[in-house]
Amino acid sequence: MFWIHKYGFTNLSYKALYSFQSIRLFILFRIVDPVMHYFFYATLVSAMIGSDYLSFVVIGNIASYTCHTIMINFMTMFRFERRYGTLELNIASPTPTLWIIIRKAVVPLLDGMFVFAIGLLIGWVIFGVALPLNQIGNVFVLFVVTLFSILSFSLLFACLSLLFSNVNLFLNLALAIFQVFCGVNFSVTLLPSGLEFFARILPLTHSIEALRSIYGIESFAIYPLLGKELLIGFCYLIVSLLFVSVMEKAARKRGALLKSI
Amino acid sequence: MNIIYLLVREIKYFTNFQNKMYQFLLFFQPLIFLTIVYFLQQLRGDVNTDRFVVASALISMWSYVLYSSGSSLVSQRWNDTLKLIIAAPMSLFQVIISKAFSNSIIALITMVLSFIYAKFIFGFSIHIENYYLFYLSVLVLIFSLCVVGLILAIVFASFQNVFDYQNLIHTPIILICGVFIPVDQLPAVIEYIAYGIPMTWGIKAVYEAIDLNTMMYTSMIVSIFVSFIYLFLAVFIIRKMEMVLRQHGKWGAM
Amino acid sequence: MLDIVIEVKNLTRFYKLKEGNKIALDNVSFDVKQGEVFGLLGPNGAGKTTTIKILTTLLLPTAGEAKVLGLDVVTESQKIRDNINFVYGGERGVYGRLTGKEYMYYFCTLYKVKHREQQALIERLLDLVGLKDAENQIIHTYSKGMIQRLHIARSLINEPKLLFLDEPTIGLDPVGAKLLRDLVRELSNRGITIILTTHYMQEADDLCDRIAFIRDGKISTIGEPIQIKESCNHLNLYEAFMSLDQTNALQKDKMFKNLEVDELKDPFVHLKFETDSLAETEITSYLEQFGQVLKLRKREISLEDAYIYLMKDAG
Repeated sequence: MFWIHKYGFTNLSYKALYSFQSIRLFILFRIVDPVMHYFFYATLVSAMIGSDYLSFVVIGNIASYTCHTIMINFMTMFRFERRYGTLELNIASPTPTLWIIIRKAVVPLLDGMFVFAIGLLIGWVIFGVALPLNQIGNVFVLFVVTLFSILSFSLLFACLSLLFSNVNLFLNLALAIFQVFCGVNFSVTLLPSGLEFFARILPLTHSIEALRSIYGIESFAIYPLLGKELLIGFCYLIVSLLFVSVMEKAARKRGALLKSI
Repeated sequence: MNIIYLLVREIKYFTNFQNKMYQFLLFFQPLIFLTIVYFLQQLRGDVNTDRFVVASALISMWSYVLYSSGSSLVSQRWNDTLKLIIAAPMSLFQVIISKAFSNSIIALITMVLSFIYAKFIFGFSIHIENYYLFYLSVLVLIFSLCVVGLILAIVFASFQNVFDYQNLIHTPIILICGVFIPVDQLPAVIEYIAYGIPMTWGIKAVYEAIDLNTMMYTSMIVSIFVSFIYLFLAVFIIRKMEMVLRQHGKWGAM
Repeated sequence: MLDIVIEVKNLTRFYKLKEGNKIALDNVSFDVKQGEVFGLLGPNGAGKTTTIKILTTLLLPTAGEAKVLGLDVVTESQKIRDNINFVYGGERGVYGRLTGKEYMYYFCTLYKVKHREQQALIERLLDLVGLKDAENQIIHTYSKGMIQRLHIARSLINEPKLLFLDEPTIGLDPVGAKLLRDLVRELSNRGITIILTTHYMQEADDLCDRIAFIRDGKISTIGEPIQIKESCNHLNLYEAFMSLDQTNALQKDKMFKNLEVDELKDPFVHLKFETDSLAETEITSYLEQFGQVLKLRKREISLEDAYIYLMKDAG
């Protein structure tokens, strides 16, 4: 169902709604921009506490940048959808709204997959953070689990965003909160206990710890962490499911199907 | 005198604090950056946080100038108000410079906020030896930001495809202008590029003014000098642009 | 065989606003028969779009009942959606970067058309709306009329029994509007029931089997165009061609109602007006005081005249 063919849903969604349509843009925004992002935090950390800590931060940012990519582009698709006035047409079709949203997520997921792989490569080539080759299987499992939890969270976020006319501030704030609280640049154990609890119900936090453990930078047991990440993902998924059905009913009652831009 | 009125109006009418992007850059970005700094410095006791409080301010100031001044002309074209501006007796240069200048002044808000956040939320102690010299260096920095904003406005308006890459310029400039690491520690090629950017000198001057480094006067003078070179360049280009615009009656590439 | 496809009884809809409730639909009742082209006409804010939104199940009524194809709009919305479709006027609702054909494929997937049937269906529909030659052009390059026809093609994907067209010809040039009207007629001939809203009276007169005038949430008149026009037969509408000497004096004169003066080549004018009971000779002699009457005749009542008269009455 998700296979890409010329007139397939995924390909058409990409062509209709995605920002990066040329190879040049793709190279600039999918290779150059992440490199800059990693450099930014690597430089900050080196300047502050020295280069010993570099690999810790680079690994954290590879995961976080992947998450950014998926979330931003997922939201952007919906923003375009509203700007074009096509969202109503999609929702009025016999395909359930949630299913439409999930199928549209395939595009940013593929994009995220690319960014993640390139990120690991950049980490290795530029920052010398080498992937232990015997751990490739674990990386793959981690990747699938993380994508699932980020997607579930994005679903909830996308549903919520349909209620507001401008979601950019929320999106920027959410991404910033991820950058601070998911243990991207420093371990969440440094946070005060209340905030650490908050950090541990966000997606990504456990994945980042697991990824660092795979690289041998931290020494947690990998599978329990991934189990928690999976559980968190499920919780967000269930909340989004409930939310979509409530929202569809509310929209019919209130009049405006969804707030348009 | 006119230009002063224009500047005041520019700040009063066109500074759009409703813009969610600007809200984020001016008010939230320093907070987030300082939070990261706060937890990172716990990993090592002896970090000089002054530099990173200022870095927080610089990052947000630069971001604001990039996104506001950078798009100031392009957005006039979207709103189709550009031809009104061209038709007005005020020269295009005066209009653009007043926009760039007002944006740099607004960017100061985020510097003040960074210090307030740092002091009152994160409890960083900030050691500025001589406040007058610090203010002076900030003024020099504002001037360099203003000139950079002006150049960006011209470049973005002239080359649509460059504007598409606005986001890509953001981080590299922070990295090469010496916000985190002094420019002289960068690889030689990057170092030379960095010295060609007016902001590099402004940023250098601000850091030096904090701990009364004797180089600060030199940095300030060089910053002003480099900024003036760009300013004259901008005057020349904008005049030329205005001519081209009148000849073609529309925005084309320069 | 269903005879009545839409059954609306005492339909009411409030909108909650800060200043209190606004009544968008006030106790509206009407039926639509199978195969009809049914026109909903009225000024902006009269309740046309609210009616359409309720009937397309996008909005719930506050009170009253509406059945579409015998199904309740509140409780059986999904079954209704499978059998209807809608087109809103204007240029929104398309993905500009896709080609017409790709756009159709996209919606075929959403409408769960079987994969192997998609190609044939799309070819048939694009041919029907006259976009076969433009199918590989991206939609950005389409004219407004082409976008509207593409919307119609999209709306036919699920083979609807009932099609809602909300101001489909808005903003179209005359040729584009005519193509679209021909298409609506063609669809009607194929047995699709069509609910149409429009601001253009001539268009409604041309296309609609029956029309409802709606104003302030109430239906003021309902019937066939010809019946509606006949109901206004008591109006004495005239038109005259004159060579006018005293334009200002005529315009200030209070003898005729709804006087419109179209200035032709000076000093000639074309007049339209209404009288209560004057005979033609009386009108002519009265007009002669302002200039020379070249021609005077009683005018046939158009739907627009009826609309203006009835809407004024309702207000």
